[in-house]
Amino acid sequence: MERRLSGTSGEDLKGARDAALVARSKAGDTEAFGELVRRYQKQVFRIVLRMVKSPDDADDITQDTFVRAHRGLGTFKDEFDFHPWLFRIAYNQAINFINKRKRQAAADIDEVPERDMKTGPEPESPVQSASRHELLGRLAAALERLPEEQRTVFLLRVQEGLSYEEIAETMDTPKGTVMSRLARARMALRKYMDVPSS
Amino acid sequence: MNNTIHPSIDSLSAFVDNELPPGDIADIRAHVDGCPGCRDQVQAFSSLGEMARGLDEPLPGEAYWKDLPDRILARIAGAVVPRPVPEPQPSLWHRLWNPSGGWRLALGSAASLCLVAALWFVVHQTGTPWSPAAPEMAEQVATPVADDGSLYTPVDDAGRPQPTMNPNSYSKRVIMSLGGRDNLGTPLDILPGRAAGSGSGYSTIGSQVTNTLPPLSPDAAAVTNGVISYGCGENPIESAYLAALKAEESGNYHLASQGYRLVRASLPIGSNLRHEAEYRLMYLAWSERMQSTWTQRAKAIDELNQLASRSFQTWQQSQLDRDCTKAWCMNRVLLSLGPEVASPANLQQTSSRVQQLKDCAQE
Repeated sequence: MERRLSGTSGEDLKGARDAALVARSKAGDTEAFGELVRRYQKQVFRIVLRMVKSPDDADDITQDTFVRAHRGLGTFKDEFDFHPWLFRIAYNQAINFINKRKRQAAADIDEVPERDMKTGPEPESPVQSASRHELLGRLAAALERLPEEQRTVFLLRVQEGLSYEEIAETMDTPKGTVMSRLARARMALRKYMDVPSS
Repeated sequence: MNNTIHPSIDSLSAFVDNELPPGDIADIRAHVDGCPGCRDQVQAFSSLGEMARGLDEPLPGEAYWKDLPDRILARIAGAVVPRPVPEPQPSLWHRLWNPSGGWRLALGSAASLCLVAALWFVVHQTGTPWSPAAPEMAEQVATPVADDGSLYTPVDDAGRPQPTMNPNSYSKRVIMSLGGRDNLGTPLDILPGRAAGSGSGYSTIGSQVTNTLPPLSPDAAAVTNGVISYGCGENPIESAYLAALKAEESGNYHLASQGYRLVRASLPIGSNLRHEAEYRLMYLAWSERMQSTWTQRAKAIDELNQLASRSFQTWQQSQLDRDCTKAWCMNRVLLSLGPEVASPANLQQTSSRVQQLKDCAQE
């Protein structure tokens, strides 16, 4: 049973449902929104980090996500779940960032001397750290070969445990597309890794 | 399910996730039990998931998570400080200066003349006629004309010649034909000539002109080389934008739309200058649409208001930069054209939207 929210104690907030916290946040209760941040900050950070591959950038984008979510609370419809909506903002922020980085990289190519392009340090992907373990390393490498949409769908499902409905909401795409992307991702991963069935 | 027919890969994948209706799950389970190939597939999918769960990203320590909510709430507290309204018109310097792209500005009367000539050169490569000078657009917009079905009047109140811009004119054709190559999609939704439901997305006249117009080369390098070879230094795209501005100021909307289009085709999405070119193109398109009776103009404004409001809502939902740019452009056009017919409350609302969109559109 949901706790009553007559007070503002931390215990009350921790036991409250998302919908109650959203309602209080809409009414200007920043403590309630702070609880929503605490509740979802790690998931948002992980989703973003997997996409942008840089903890510093993930930090910025995670902050932006919550700030934008707070700003957009007025448009959030109470009949929907909060976290898929939040994840969609995070996902879109990460997509914006990636697109900007690509444009910047394209613009920089003309300006970077050739020697720098050859000798510059390769950005280390967080997933590369898993290469200590051979199988995990192979999976990490296989994931890197997947198209962005397939990789994100796969990780939202297996790591975040989101339902197809929630993934569809997060990525603003039909549920059927989620289903087929997941299947294609699994087939591709199996092919890249040559996963034994048992 | 017939046990001799294999389930699709999508179904097997959804079966692993327990995302199928109960009846389908029972059917597939029955099939998988008796089919080594499908069982192998299901087991492989399951083991992939188990492995991936062990592949967690290294996350920051607890101190970070304890601190993050406070940092976010502090930003939120700062973000509610109201900004001045209405939005000031950015200076030419600001409009042309894009820090991320490192654009350099070439100003000066001699250079400006050279830029106009450069754009003239580029436009003539595509066979565009150079129109004689015409009165400023603002005067045209403010001039009611007879409701004779034509969009434009050939003579203004003072008897001065107006540019001939009916739906078959080159300017109109240029603007209508822009849509086919616009991957941002900004002007497409509002352009005259676009008809919902038709196969190509354009009305007959739109399709005809799209097919018959010589396309302006979207190859930025070719255009750039053309301008450079004409003798202008610095940045030729900025040159083209400045020339287009001058063309618009002097009433040469044909040329102006070509110039803005050239800029848009030459710059990446996200560039401030590209945003400005899109804004000017939308302004031209809507100004043309309003060259008729007051009733039609009010109707056009009403339509634009709905589009501007809808684009803003779309951005609020998606938070995507491209939606922000579209909404920003749309609302700025409304703000520019609206004062004649829109209510003050409506304009204030539009101004507020522009303020909210300003940051993300210029990022």
